[in-house]
Amino acid sequence: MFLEFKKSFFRPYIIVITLILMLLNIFFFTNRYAYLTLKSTETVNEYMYFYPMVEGKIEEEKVHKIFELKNENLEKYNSGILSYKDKNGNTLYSHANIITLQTLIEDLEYTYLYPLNMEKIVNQSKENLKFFDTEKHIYEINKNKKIIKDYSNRYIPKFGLTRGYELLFNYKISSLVLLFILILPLSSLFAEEKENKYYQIFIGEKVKKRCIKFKIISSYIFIFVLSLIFYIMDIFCFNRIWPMNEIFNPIYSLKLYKNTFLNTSIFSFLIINFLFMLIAYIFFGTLFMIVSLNSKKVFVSLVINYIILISVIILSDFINIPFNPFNLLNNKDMFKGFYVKRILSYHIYEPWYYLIFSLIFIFLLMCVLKRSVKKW
Amino acid sequence: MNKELMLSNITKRYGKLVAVNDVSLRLTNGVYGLLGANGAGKSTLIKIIVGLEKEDFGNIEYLKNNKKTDLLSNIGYLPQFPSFYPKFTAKEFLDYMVSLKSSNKKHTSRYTEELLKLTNLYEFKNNKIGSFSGGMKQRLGIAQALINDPEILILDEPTAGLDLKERIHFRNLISSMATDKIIILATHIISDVEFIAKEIIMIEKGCIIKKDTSENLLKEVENMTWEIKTTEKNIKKYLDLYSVSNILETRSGYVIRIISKEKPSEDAYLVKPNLEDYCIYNFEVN
Repeated sequence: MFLEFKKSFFRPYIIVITLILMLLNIFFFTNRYAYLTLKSTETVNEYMYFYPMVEGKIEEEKVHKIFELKNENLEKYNSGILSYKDKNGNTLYSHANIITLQTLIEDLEYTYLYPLNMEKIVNQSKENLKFFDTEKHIYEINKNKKIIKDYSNRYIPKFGLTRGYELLFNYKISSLVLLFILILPLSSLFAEEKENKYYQIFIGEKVKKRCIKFKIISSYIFIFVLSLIFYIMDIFCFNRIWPMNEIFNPIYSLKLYKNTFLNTSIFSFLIINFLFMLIAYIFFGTLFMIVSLNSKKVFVSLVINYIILISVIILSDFINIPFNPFNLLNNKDMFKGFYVKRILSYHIYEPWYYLIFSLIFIFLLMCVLKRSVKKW
Repeated sequence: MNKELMLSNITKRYGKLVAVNDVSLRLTNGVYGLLGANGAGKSTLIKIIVGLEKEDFGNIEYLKNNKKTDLLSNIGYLPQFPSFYPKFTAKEFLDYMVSLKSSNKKHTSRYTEELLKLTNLYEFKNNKIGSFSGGMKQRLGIAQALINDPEILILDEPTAGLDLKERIHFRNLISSMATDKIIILATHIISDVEFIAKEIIMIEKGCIIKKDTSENLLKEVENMTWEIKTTEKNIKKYLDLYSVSNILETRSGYVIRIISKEKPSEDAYLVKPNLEDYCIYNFEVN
């Protein structure tokens, strides 16, 4: 297996291209994306300057201090003091401080008021339930029951740095970069054997099957390892841009997931998010392998795979089908709210609905792969 | 153990061209030399036996003690122009092929080293295949064909690219294995099979035209092989009139080897024929 892995994936051109794209992703794409989102890194530095004052469990004293600081800066600004030095000798700018402190207060408010806001939703659902109970509207009854169950007793235990996570979940360039890398070895996986007539020495079904098995398993290992590396790399990149902490806070401590139906921690959501992306990579990887199995030339396989990928990227915005592989890569919107889909008489959360369809499609693709293997 | 490879009425067509025409053979332990001109159908027949091509008609059976046995799992095969993964070292390539071909857990790293020693490649075991000469690649091909100690060994032009020393080593290796294997050796280097082949199979236009021992085949050209000492100006005359199997330049002129039923000239003298003479006779006179 290791030798198959080495043969198919440890190739100088794959390593060089992967490293170049990785470095571009680390030092250019993520920074550029962060700049477009944050506008300046100074905002982060200022936020990080004040954050230690309120970090951890929210207490009235901490909140009070932040409000005080904001008012102090407001007074300084109004009296024409645009900059001043703190006790450590750092230069602070009163106008920038006002904006940063306002952001911090909004974040604190979100954390502090979250239980109250959720309680309102739960109470509303309880009222809805009474109404639909009399109307015997089964769908609405079940829906409101689900809301009451999922959104009751929610609170955010600690005030953490969550903006880095939001950047991470919104960022999708590394997924595209990864797909473009995956095409290279997977397009040549089988086509190269045909093109160079290496297959001539694989005599007998047993040998051929073992060779194909090694190739397919090593491809999935490659997909898993590379996607994990890219994911971890993204986490480190965004942690560098905007530090993240409180990984075991609930996922709804991120404003992006304020209304999510999930009651898991950020850490669990990182895993869920990765698994969704991994399934999409497996889908595309299997597709690339099928094309390679049916091609006699590496170049042809490569061109077809790029055409397929680019077409899917372009068409993904227009295709409204239960399974769109890009939904899995760009899955942040699926978890944002309480989106339910109906399958027969069952109601299912939208991400799981897409997940089921994706797995069915991957299963179908694997059947096609198996058929192509027989012909190879 | 009684082993038999039975080919019955094998026919293969590519459009209108009949590449293999109704070939039937019964092969037992020993070396078989498959001889034929380019395009005679040797490689197609071999590809059919090893399962790389599907026959249009006929069937192949492998019998062990009269019991039908899986053929392909018992074959070791060296293709005509083998190409291997250039980025692998010889050792890695053989390790890889062993992992594909063998389920035997005893076939470890030491096993591949034995194969490398057998084919005189041990000292190059860590060299990349991409840096190998044609002869070294050929030897590596032979080594991979020997994995699992196959009962049937099929070698298509195995000595192409080998130097004289390597060819002698290869011949000895094949001879030593011939007692318990069916070995089919397709070649155009007739001397490679002349002394080690149990039988010679001659193929022409997809048909088997002869299958016999070297001795019996040579009987057909007995008293038909002549040598004449001549000068350069007469060479063209003999080439136009007779089948010439060899022209040897000597200090006193030239010695021409001719295959002819009649004495080609007064000063011609009979010599002992070899398999090359027989082939010239068959492919040119017939």
